[in-house]
Amino acid sequence: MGRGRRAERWLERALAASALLSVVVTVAIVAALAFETVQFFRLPLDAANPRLVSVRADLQRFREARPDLVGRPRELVREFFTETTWSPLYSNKRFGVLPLVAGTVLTSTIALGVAVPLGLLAAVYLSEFAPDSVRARVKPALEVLAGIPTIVYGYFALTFVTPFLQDHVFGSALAGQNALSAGLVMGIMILPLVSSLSEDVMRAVPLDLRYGAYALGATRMEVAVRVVVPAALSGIAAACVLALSRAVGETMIVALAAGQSPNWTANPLETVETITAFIVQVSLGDTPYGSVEYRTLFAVGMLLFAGTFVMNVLSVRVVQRFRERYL
Amino acid sequence: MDAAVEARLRPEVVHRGVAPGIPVLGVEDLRVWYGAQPALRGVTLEIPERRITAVIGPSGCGKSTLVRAINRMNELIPGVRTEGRVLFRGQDLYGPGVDPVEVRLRIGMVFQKPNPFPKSVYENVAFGLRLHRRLGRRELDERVERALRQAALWDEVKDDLHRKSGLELSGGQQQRLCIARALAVEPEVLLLDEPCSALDPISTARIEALMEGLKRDYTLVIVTHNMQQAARVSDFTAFLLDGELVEFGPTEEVFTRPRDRRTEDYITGRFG
Repeated sequence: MGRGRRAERWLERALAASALLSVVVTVAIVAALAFETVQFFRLPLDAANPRLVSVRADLQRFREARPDLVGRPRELVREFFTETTWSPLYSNKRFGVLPLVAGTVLTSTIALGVAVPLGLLAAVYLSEFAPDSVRARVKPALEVLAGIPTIVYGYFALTFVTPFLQDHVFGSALAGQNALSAGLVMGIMILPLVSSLSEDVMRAVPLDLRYGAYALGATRMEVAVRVVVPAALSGIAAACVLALSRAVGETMIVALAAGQSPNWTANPLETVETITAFIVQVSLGDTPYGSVEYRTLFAVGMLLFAGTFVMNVLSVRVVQRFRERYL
Repeated sequence: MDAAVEARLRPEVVHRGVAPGIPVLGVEDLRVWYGAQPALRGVTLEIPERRITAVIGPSGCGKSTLVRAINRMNELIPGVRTEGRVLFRGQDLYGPGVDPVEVRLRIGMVFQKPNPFPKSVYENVAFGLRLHRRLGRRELDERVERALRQAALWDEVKDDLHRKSGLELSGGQQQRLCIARALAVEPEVLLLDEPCSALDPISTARIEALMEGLKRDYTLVIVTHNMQQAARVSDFTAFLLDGELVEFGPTEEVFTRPRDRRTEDYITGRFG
């Protein structure tokens, strides 16, 4: 066997190994998350174990706060998924995660409500209407939005958007920390994600298709709406799902501007806490390894992961049904 | 074109009492540039109604530019400049206040590479109809069927109109779908820009037969690099070279008694 062939084989192995590495890392992260999540739902069992309780102060506090849960892990699962009070950090511990889910859904929905329509309009304009000179300037300018540190967005929401909305629109009905400001600013943050990716896929639609429509007497707008957007739909949907994942996972903006008190509400004017904001809140303190608070982190983290994962899978299904393949 | 001469050449083409050889399109001193590069250097010709006019010439001679100028598709390409006039039933298509969308609606086009939309066969044909008119379900169905029959595609697709994507058809079927799509909006003129160059001989023969039938109702202009095709299907032939019209006349004359030496050289295969 020649030297060239041997080198090629080693190169092939190196490539395979690096591909494998990313798979291994992903699996490891999911496994770690799953392991710690199980630890959370085992809390009632640990609290029922006298040997563990005698050496662990936090388990003693758990026993005192929630004697009803001791030895009943199923009850904890039920509470986690169905109850609407989340207070694991207080002495009166309740583990209903729904307020965090509500906060996350509320802020993300507002963000998508801003980013998807504006981002799509910007993408249609840039791809189908803007002269090259305009696109060459506007696109990088939009993408700068994605490069602004999220902490800056957070302060922008907290110190500008909220006071502005209080002074001019809602008055004192708007809480100092609220879902609305955080959602709006988060929408601006993910807007370039929607517009830039959508514009890329729209420009990838073959010119032939556009000419075919023009030759039938279509206007620019009709070409954009009836030919280009449907043909680019799968990419556009992917951009929106990516934007949604960013919004759901976004932390600094919501921690600063939406607040840190879990609130079972659909009112965007109120203070809410998202899953990510709760994780920040706990991580900021010196939470000891293995403690009750520590375990809640992984339970809500797993929920976040599972949520975005399910959304991704669903969107792939939906897109496959509606997209128009042109390749 | 002298009507008497025309009638003597092909008496069988007289149809519906329309005198043969009436020009539907008049191209007058048409000049087109791509940036600084001239593509047409002053072309003048008249395209007769309900006939097939072939435009032949070597690559880069401006034949595609000519047909794309007729339905104002050229101006979609950045940097194109057009001078001269294209008269459609006496109206200058480049005159002030003329909407290119309206022009393209009355002068349809089929492209070199079949370009069906990634939609169902039905939606491909209905596309143009949906743009311009609000039609009831039944009328839309009828028009789609009529257009597909005109394009000799109906029998092959009628069972799968809504389920089959236009892109799942064979190349020749795709091109006939594109013809059906263009016919559905009932244009008066159909421009075909090398419609068979991406097709096999059998598909090509089908499209040629189809054109022969369409001639009864439509004026056709076909760009082709294939001289046999021009000789087979067309009534009139225009020979372009370097952006200029070298010769234009009844196909039989152009191919058997060319007046210009360059035409003769081209059709006998000495260049191009």
